[in-house]
Amino acid sequence: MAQVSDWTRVGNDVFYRKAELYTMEWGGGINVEEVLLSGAPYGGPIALTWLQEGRTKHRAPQSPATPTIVIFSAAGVKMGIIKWGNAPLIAMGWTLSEDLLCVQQDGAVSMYDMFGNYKQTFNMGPEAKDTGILSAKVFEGIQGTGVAVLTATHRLYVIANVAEPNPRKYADFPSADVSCWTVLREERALKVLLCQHDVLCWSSAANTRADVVQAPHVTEGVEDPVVIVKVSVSSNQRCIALLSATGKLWLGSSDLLTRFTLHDTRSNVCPRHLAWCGSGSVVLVWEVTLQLVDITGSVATFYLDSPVHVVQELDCVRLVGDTSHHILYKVPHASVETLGIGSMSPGALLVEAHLGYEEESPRAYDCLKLIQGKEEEAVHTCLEAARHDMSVDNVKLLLKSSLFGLTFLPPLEPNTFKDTALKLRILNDLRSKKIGMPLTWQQLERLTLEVALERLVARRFFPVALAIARTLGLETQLVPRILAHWACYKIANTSDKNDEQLARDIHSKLGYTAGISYTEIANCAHSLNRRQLAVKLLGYECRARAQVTGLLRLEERAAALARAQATGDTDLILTVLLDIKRALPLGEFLMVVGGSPLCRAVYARSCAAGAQEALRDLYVQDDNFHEQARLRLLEAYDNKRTDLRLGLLQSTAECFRRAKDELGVQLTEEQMRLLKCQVGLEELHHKSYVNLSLVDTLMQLIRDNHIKDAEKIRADFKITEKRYWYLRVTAHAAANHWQALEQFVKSKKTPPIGYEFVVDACLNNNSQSEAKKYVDKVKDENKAEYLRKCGLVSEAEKFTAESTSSVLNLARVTGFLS
Amino acid sequence: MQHPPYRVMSGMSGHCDKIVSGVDVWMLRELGCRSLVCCLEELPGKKDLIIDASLMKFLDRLSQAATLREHDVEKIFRLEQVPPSGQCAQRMYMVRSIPDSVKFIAEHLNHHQQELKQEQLQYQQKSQNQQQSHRVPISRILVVCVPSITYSVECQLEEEGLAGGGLVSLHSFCPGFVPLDDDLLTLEMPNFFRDAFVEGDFSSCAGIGQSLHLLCSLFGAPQRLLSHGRAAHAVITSFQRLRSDIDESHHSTKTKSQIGHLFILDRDADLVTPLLTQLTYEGSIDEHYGIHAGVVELPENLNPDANKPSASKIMLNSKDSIFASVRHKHFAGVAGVLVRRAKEIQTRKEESKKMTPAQMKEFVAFDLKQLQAQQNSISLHLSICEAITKATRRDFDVQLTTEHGLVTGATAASEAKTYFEDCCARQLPLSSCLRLLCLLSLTQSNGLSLKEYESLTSQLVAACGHKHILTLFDLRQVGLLNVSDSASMDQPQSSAMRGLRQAASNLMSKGQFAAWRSLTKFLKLIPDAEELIDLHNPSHLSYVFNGAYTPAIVQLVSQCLTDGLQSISDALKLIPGSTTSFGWSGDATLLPPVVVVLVCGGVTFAELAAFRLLGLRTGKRIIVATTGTTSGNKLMNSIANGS
Repeated sequence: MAQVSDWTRVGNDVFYRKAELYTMEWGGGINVEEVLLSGAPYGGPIALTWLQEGRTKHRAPQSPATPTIVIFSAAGVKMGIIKWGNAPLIAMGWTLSEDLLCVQQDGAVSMYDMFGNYKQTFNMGPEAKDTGILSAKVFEGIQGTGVAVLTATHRLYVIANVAEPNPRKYADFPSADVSCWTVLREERALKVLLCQHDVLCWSSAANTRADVVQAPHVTEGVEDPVVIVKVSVSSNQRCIALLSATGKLWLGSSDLLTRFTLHDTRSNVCPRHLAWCGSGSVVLVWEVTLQLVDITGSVATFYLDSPVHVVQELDCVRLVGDTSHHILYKVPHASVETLGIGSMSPGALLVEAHLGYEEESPRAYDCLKLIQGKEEEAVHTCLEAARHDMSVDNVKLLLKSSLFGLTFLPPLEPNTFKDTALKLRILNDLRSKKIGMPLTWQQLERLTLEVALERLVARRFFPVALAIARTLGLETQLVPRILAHWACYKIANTSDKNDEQLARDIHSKLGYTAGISYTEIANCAHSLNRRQLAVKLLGYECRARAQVTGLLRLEERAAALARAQATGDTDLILTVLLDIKRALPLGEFLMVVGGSPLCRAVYARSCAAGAQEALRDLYVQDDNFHEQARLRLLEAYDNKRTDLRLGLLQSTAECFRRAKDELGVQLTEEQMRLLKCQVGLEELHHKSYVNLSLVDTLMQLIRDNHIKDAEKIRADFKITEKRYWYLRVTAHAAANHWQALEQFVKSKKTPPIGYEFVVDACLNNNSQSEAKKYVDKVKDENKAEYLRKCGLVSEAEKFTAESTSSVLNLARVTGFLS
Repeated sequence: MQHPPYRVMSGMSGHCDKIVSGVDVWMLRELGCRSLVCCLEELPGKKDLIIDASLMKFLDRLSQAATLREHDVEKIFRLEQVPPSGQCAQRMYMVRSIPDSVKFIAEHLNHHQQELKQEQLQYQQKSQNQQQSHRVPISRILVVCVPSITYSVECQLEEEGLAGGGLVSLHSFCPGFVPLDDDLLTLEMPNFFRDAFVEGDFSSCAGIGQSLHLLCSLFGAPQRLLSHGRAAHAVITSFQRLRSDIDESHHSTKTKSQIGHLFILDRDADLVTPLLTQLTYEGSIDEHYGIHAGVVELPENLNPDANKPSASKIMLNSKDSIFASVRHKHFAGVAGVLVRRAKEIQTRKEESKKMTPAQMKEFVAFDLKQLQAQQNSISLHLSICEAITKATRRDFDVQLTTEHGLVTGATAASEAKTYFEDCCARQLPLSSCLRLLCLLSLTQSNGLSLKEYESLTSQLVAACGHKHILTLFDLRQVGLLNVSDSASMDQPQSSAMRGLRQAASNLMSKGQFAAWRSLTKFLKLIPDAEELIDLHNPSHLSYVFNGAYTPAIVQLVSQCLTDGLQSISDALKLIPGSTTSFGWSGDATLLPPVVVVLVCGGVTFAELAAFRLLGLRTGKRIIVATTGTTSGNKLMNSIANGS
């Protein structure tokens, strides 16, 4: 079949395919041999710079006069230029977020985005700076991208994650020439493997000295000391390839314990590149010859059009040449099954059946008959093959075949087909020359669609990203983010428009899309020093809290306060107020607080919890003596010491006076008098009187039989006679001073409070006998009730009175009390 | 927190959760309980639970102690200054979102660490054969903020140095309304009235809005809404904000609305009602023993279980059919009804003696238990009636006459003043005196004159202590106490400078003193003297106050339901706060017959009874939601004890 003509057999039933991704124009053409080139994994951008004199024999013809780094998309479209004016460049590499890292000879590492915009610089520590760097590696670490450098003094410094650029020194190793080295990540740690002549050193952060091991034998059975000149680790970190100066290749596990195979390249020339293609094979590239060595030992040789740079991917290698960009990958098993020559697997038969059907040939029926009962397997194989195929024609054929096969199946998992088709479409779009992200299915799965979309957004393909997000139904999660990115890009790249106009433009595009955060966009504008624009953008924010805190960040406090007040959210108002308090001097702050009743209330409430002094400041500022008096009074009653309390009451009275509150003054002074009086009593009788009310003080005195003191206080505080009577009767009765009670009651002809109260007082203190003494004198209309209360039921009956209209009497009459 | 099992009252035969008109309020409890469980699971493993005192009753209504235990709660403590004595390495605090709670937590933590240090020292000094240190270092603290995490709490946490570091984490828990009965939902926020109307702090309204949103997410949004008042405004603002936020992000399929009307009103729309003594049976129980979150704590001598002479907690709700039949009755008629019911049961029992064995079998299987339970209930309620009657003061009728006279205008102010002085002199409880004083001031067309105020206050202060000057301030603040203070306070600087609390609550300009009187006219709150009000088979809402006064909130709702929004617009102008309304055009007959009335600041049992009557009269189901049931005493105490 035509589709498989470009497959190359490597060993039994294993095929590799080299296919052209793009023809490269490089915006004017370059010679790959003359440049230092670094391609980001996952079909990312390519950065290159011309090698300087001293490292090549003659200056490259295209090389510009000043050192320059140019960034291209994977399809060779120029994306950005960096004018390099720093120390000589040692190495370049890409982070996982597709930022370019440039390692300089003096240990400084600069970070640029893919458009060549400078982001930041960090360094590899003082030693690297002082002694200079021999070589450097940018690698994928455990949590992010890392940088490792080898200094001229043979020390290793590693930054595990560029997000936290703290260089760590790795274990020292025997000082000698390092022919090559690489970084390996294990479960939770990073290790560096260095090759020194015939020994290998493992250096890590944990050890103080590197572990030295003998290099594995590269020739069967012969213990010859060899020099390892090239080393390569597979993307999954499981396999390692070592190449000796004599051209012998050792493939094995990355712990060096298991050997997969040995291979003799029969070439003493060191290849330019050694890289893993997936985890199943290694490619070696000399000028225009590419040798592919399978881990089973099978070999295939490819001849290239021009020298190439190799970019190692998860499941393939990409070959970047002068004029073209190729991909070399292992043809997956499903493809071999379906499209392989002579394959009789269900998948292949389904394809055949489909082709027959298209041609209206009876072959279709024959083939279908052969896979009867295995339709499902066939469909799945076709789908699987379609996913991994890089050729559009093949994908079409396979998808059509599987769709054809699906018609013979009950409708199971309809989504699998739809999802696959959708994703393949997306992949196809991403691979287009314009976008230039040559991802394989496996890479997309690993990267996830969300990240791929983010990368698309980072490349500023907003409409495509938006369309994809909407198609995928990821509106709520992704669409707002894409729009926000667009807005930020717009802000960063339109400096001529006025703020008002720009804000309106952005809003007209974004509207009130669910989940859109104008705060983020405003932050972005703010970071670009466009404060006014940020304020305008925040005006569109719907979420009050985000808006207010955003305004605070911009120090637009007045606007924030106004907005917070409009929402009526007291918590939000407090947030603003406390921010203002931190920012402004106290006086000004209090002016702000005083400006609105709501703010006053909120602030006062927050102060009330323990910050009395702050509250007082507010009242003093306002000349609000009434509230000051209130605070003083509270303070006075919180104070246990009477002398202090007196002082505080004094100042309370003063405050009342200034507030022109006569009653307040009068009552406070009365309280002071009472307090002094109580203190006197305490000294006299050694009993606690403070904290009692005036009446309670009297009661206590009477109960303790200090009638004289009571009389004195009564006179001092002008207590009415009636009131005094109530007091005396209650207190005497409570203290069971029956004699004193009788005496007192008899001191007047008729007590001003009536005998009913006296009887009740006796009864309340459980003395019926005492009560009986007075019951006869109770008024007639109440007599019946009182007699009954005193237990004199028979007498009561004589007095059975008419029930009044009172509610209770109604209840009584109903009779349930008896 | 001990959980004495609530006595299962008579008539509570299985689940009698009535589901009327589709709105099953008990679903709210289910919902609240589930989110509580979610909270508990935030902190897996054994833990001690420390709860803010004001939330305890609430949690009681929400879940059982067993639920807590199922989720590894070892011990439960009340949040106090004194550190809890729990021994778990993990603690869960369930607190109101105020900075004070965080202070307590920080103190507890410090205390714990010091103790730990001391113990270690002791441990080192003693020989190793001593017992192991029994305290374990605290490994994690989860602070559950009810109803949401606020900035002030976060700030306080930072100030105490507890933010970050992983030891203390915050979590929010909005339990929503909890049903106490088929027609009563509560949030149990005992401090709300004070916070909002005295301090002018309406921040907890956001939580009410959140709870309301939860309610509407279950039963659908109301089709008609009327909210009036300052707290109501804050609630509705927060409610609408939540709705727009959530609807925007979810495009939720709207729940079919089951709520026809929603009223949101503030307690200060009618401050007179709580001042009047409640006369319904339930109201009387509340006046005498206090009903908290649907539970009354009866004194020892009333314990129906003679074997255990201790105070008993009894849940009062309509699941007890006997109580349901008398709760809203005028107190005077309760005993009669109970006796009649008792006789009926007696007859039923006697009938059983003549039964055939088969009938007997059926009777024993189905009816006997129920009858027995009802009988128990009757005897309990009879003894409560008796106790209340006994405890009623001799001059109760004078008190009622004075109260009602003040409202209708039949009693002269001077008479009432004399009675008040008498009350003070007789050392009646502070709350009773204050109620009378406030009622007096509210019912006078110009409030109390300064002179009257001075003389009455000094009486009161002499009896209760001078620190209640502050209470009197606060009462004036709320508008419970009206004083026409031309001399001292209405200086030019007055309304702005009189106190920011006053300014914050933007209360009572002078013209509003007469507001209540005018309100009674607009709403016809005071029935004509000639009109005969039947107290025992009531048809007029004012029966709850002997026909002297119709609770204004109920009357507002009633008028609005029957005559439309326009009919009360004049009345609303007299009530502080602003109005929000929607959905009042269109045909009312098509609306679902469910009315939700949310009263911010508490509702009295008298009002509940009136609402019940209103529901019967209009054929609508009225569900009252509130920040908690209240009474004059509770209001007064919350003001008097706060300062």
